[in-house]
Order: sequence, then C-alpha cells, then structure tokens
Amino acid sequence: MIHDLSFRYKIPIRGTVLILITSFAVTAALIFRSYDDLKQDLLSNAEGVGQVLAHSLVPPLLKDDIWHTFKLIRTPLDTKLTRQMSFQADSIIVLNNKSDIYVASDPFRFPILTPLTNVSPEYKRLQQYLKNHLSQNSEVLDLPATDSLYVTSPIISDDVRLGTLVTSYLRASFTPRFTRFASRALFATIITLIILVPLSWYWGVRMAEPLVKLAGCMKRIGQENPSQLHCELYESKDEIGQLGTCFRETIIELQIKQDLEKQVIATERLAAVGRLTASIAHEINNPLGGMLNTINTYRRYGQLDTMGEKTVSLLERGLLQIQDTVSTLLIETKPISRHFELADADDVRTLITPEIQRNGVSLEWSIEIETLSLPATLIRQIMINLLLNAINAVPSGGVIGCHIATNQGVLMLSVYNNGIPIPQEKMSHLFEPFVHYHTDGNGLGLWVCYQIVSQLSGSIEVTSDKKETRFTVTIPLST
Amino acid sequence: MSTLTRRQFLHFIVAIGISSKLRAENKPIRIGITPVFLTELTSVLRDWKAYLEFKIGQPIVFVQRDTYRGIVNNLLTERLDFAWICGYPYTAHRQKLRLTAVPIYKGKPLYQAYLIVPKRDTSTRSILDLKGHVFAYTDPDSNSGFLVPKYQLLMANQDPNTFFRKTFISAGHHNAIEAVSTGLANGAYVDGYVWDSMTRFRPDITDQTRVVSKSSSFGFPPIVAGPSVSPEILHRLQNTLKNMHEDPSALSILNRLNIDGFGAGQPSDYETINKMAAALGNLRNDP
Repeated sequence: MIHDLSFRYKIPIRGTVLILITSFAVTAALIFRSYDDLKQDLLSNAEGVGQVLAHSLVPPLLKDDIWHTFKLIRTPLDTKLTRQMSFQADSIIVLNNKSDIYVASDPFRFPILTPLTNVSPEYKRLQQYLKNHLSQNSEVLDLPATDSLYVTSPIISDDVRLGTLVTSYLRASFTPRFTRFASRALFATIITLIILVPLSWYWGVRMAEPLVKLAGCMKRIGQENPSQLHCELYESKDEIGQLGTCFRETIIELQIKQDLEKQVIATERLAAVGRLTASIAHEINNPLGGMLNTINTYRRYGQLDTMGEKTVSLLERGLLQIQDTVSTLLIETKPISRHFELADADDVRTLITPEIQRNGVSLEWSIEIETLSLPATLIRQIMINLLLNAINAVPSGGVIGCHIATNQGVLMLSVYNNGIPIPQEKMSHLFEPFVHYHTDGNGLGLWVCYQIVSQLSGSIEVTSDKKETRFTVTIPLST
Repeated sequence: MSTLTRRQFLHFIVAIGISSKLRAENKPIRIGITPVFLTELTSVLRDWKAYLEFKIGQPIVFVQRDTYRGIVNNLLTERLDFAWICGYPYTAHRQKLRLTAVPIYKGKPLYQAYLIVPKRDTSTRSILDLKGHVFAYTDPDSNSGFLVPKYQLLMANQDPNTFFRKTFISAGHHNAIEAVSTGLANGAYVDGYVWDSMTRFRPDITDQTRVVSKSSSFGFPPIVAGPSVSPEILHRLQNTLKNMHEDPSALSILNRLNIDGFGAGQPSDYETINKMAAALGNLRNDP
C-alpha cells in the first residue's frame, strides 16, 4: 500500500520513520549507558561505605559488644541522618566466620546466631557464594536472579578475620534515580521530535511537490490540448528542474507537431475538395455549354409559341445560374495576361465603395506596392472577396482595413475588421466550400480565395479575437 | 516552663559571678551519673547543675559514665564525691558508701523491674518462656537489669549461664529497651522507672515493646556519698535535694526527671537486693 502512496506522503513518512528510529536509538543507548554508570557509581560508593564501616566494627567485635555493633550498623540506615543519600542500603548484616548472623540491622528478619542459609533462598545463594569466594577485599556481588546487590567487606583485625559485613541494596532503589534520568532523556527526545518531525514533513512535502505537479501535468497530456496545458513547474537546475524543462520543451514540440498535423490534414482535405469540385465543375460545364448553345440555336431557328418561349427562357435562366456557380468553382491560373498594378487596387476600392457607404463602415487603406508579378484578375478577386466579407462582418460604424506590402519577394496582403470574432468551431472549416459565414452569399468566397492562393503557392491565415479579425495572404512573387 | 527555668538559670549565673571569689576557693562537688535514669536528657542535667550550684554555693561537676562499675570505682577511690547509682552496687559497698538521698517515685522511694519483650511477641508470659532466646542485660551491676532476671532463673532452678542462647550487655536501661523494641534481644529486664519515663519521652520505642510482668518493689537507685565526703557537704546536698519538691523553681527539673522529689532513704529498703545478691554470690562474675 505504501508502495502506491504519493511522494507527498512517502518522503515525509520515510523522514519521520528515520528520525524516530534515530532519536529512540540514541535515547535508549544514552539511558542504558547512564544506568550502567549510575550503578557503578553507587556501588563504588557503597563499597567505600562498607570498608569504612567494617573498619569501625573491629573494636566492638573484639569485645563481643553486640549492642555497639548494632548501633554502628544502624547508623547508615537512620533515615534522619541519611535522608540526603540517594542510594539507601536495605539491610546490613555482620556475619561471623561460620556465616552465622552475628548481628543485623533488622534483627526481626535476621535474628542473632541464625545461619544465613535459613533466612531466605536468596541468602542461601549468597552464603554459598561467600563460602566459595571468601575475598580479602571489599567486593560487589551482582548475583543472577536476586532482588538485591550485595557489598561484602571483610572485618579484619591484625590479619585475623573477625567476620564479614554484608550490605544489601535493593535493585529497585536504582529505579527512582533511573526513572528521573530516563524521563528527562525522554522529554528531550520528545522536544527534538516536536521540532524535527514537522521540519521533515515540511521538507518532504517541498521536495515532493515539484514531482507531484509534474506528474499531475503529465497525466493531463492526451486528455487536454497541449496548448491548454498551463503547468506551473518548479524552476531549478537540479534533476527535477531539468525534468520540468524537458517536459515543457516536449509539450511545445508536441503542440507544434499537432498544429502541423492539423494543417496538413486541412490542406489535404481542401486540396481534395478542390480537385473534386474542379472535376465536377468540368463535367458539368461541358454539357452545360452544349445545352446553352442548343437553346440559342433553337430560339434562333425554332418556331416558339408563347408557352414554348416561356419554357425555354426558364431553362436558359436555370442553366445560366448553374453556369455562374460552376464558373465560380472553376478557378484556373491562366497565363499572366497582366500584372497587378496600383491602379487595380484603386479599382477594387472604387468597386467596394458603394457597399461601404451603404453599410456605414469606415475604411483604412494602405497600399505600399507598385507593380506585382502576379495575375491581376486573381489578386483583385481575392481582395474583393475578403473586403466584401469584412464589410459584412462589421456592424454599422465599424472599421475595416486593407494593407498590401511586399517583403523579401513575398506579397503580404491583409484585410481586417473589428467585427464580431469568428467562432472557434467555424475556424477549422472556414475555407471549405458552401460554408456560410453570412446568411447572404453563396458560401464560396473564402473557398475561392483559398483555391487561388493555393494555386499561386501561397498561404492564407486567419486570426480572430475580440479586437479584430484578420486574413493575411502571403504569396511569393514569381520571378 | 523551660523559659522560666532559663531565666532563673541566668539569675544563677549572675549570682555565681558575684560570688566568684568565694567559688574560686571552693572545691567543686563531683557527682557521678549512671544510666539509672535517662542520661540523654542533657538539658535537665544542665539546669539541675545550675540549681544545685545556686543552692549550695559551690561548683558542681556531673561526671557521666555508661557503666556502674566505672562510677562506683571512682567513688570508692575518691575521684568522685557523690554518685547516683543502682541499689545493687550500693548494697555491695554499703560499708564505704553513705545514703544521701533517694528519689521518691509515685510517692515511694521504690521502683519495680519490668520484663519486656518485642511487641510482636504475644506468647511470652514469664522469663521462663525465653529459654534459648537472646537476652539483653543492662549492666552487670544493675539490680533490675541483671540481678533480678538471674535471681528469678535461679529460683526456677535454671542455670542463668546456659538458659539463654545468647546474652549481651546493653549498657543502660534505655538501650535495653531499644534492643528489645528492634528485636535485637528477645527480652530484657529493665528499670520500670526508666521504661515509664521513656513512654513519656520516646513513645515510639516503648510502643514497640510489651511489659510481660513487673517484679516486686525494690529500693530506688540512691544518691550516695563516697568515703571522703564531709558530713557538712553531705547534709547540704541532702537538704537541697530533699527540699527540691517544695521549691517552685525546682519543679520543672523534678518533672523532667519524672520523679516527685527526694527523700533521705532507709538502708533497709535495699535488704531485698542484698539477699538476692547473696543468693547469686557464686554467679556474680558471669555477665
């Protein structure tokens, strides 16, 4: 499950786990170390106390003075005197050389002259140990499975052993000091954790964020148009930053590729439609010419009554309409009869002036050319078609414009208006035949323009937004 | 009450200052003190000393020892003038010692010996139940703490030297009481007056003991004069002590000593002790 978790959580969780393990390991090591130190300190202290006490027990033992021996061994246990001592002995026993109790601090538990073995199983173990390891020095006995630690000190007078002093310390009496230390260590650890864990979360989340964003962005590829993909990616020169840069470049390339593909498809479709239309127009045009000739001949030589005249006229009008449409579809670049001149532009302006006036539109006119090595008829047709469309696209009081210039052997002709923008869904079908941009018109204007421009090896582009709609025609000048 | 005493004590000091010339000529009276009472009451001794110095007009020196024998030896060798000792050493040396004063306790110059055991021992009914146990003797020269138990065992046809598993000397009745209270000793005979006094001053110790039985009455430990003391000094001290219970300024001292006052005492009060000592004669040297 953690395997599938987002890096947003995975990195902080791993950081936190590491911090927890480290802090607890360090704390535990410290605690165990200090427990050991504490024990050693206290025991060496206890050993010293035992030695001193054993030494002062010599005179009363020599006199067999039980009372004074008792008073002496009770002193270290007097809570009034030893309240300040952190490590309080549990009991103190003086053993004679037969390991019988000579006197003990707690006579009820350790009656006089009782063998140590009779006190309890634990003391029996102690007695057995003492029997086998009778030391001439003070020593600390840490016997396994005992509740107490024992400090034994020999009571020696002039090389004669009088007995053994046994001081027992409950293991549990370490506990308060140990607990105090452990709770302090734990407190410090918790404080550290309170600081480190949020910090690790913050860093972890920060580290994961660029990756998460990148992943989110990448997921959107294929679902959304690359041009619509606005990703705020992490800017840096580290690996994630590099990844982001690569990703952005990929997106741009992808967009270019997609645009290119779309363009190719559109061009191919238009070319196919153009070819189809042209061949259909040809097929229609040939019999059409025959039919019109026949009607002419029939009218000239035939006997027509009123009814017949009416019918023939009707046929002729229908056929002429067909011919009009078909001829519009039949665009042929004939050998240049004449080059486009400045006068042609002026003619176009004159031609559209009545339309402009009727619609109450103002015109911006900017022609920066002399003679162009392009067929005048075709360029005129492009201009007229685009300008008429523009006039129709703007409401009364709108502005249209025409700008013609040449740049590095290319004609740049643009026609623009500030009318209502072309809807997005119409943009891709703009140059197809019978696409009606307006209720009036035959829907062939832009198609014709496109066909002309295509045949002249140029291109036509359209941009449309709230401010203006602009058609830009680019045609290389023939040399 | 102790404030009053302190103020009086200051008066005594002033008085002593005035009579310093006189005092310089006077030899101090040396009085030996033994554990027949609670010798730990240092403030009582200080006030008593000041009182006696004021009344007698002579410096007083209290000499404290833990054993009767040390004090009695010093008394006999004239290193001490007087001593407050047990009736047993008094009877032993009564040819050389003179009875000076005897405390009046509960209206009589008498006291009893108590057999005590640890409180948790609820079965012991007499000293005979303590056979094979650990027994504490207060002092080999004590009547109540030594003579009485040995005599009782003797009367019961027991050998006091083997009756107990272990015996030891506690040097003082209060120590014996403490030894029994802690369980160090399974039993002890102690001065009833000391035990009663301790119930007032150290109930934490006496509460851990149980009085099994009380002996018949004996002459209270007396204050005796050594061989060299002049009759004049003896009478002066005797009168001072005998009049203490009538002197309001001395009442606090008597109260803290837990006695009613002092009387002249009769040597015959110690006859019982003498008889017991005689009966034990040949055991005398076994502590």
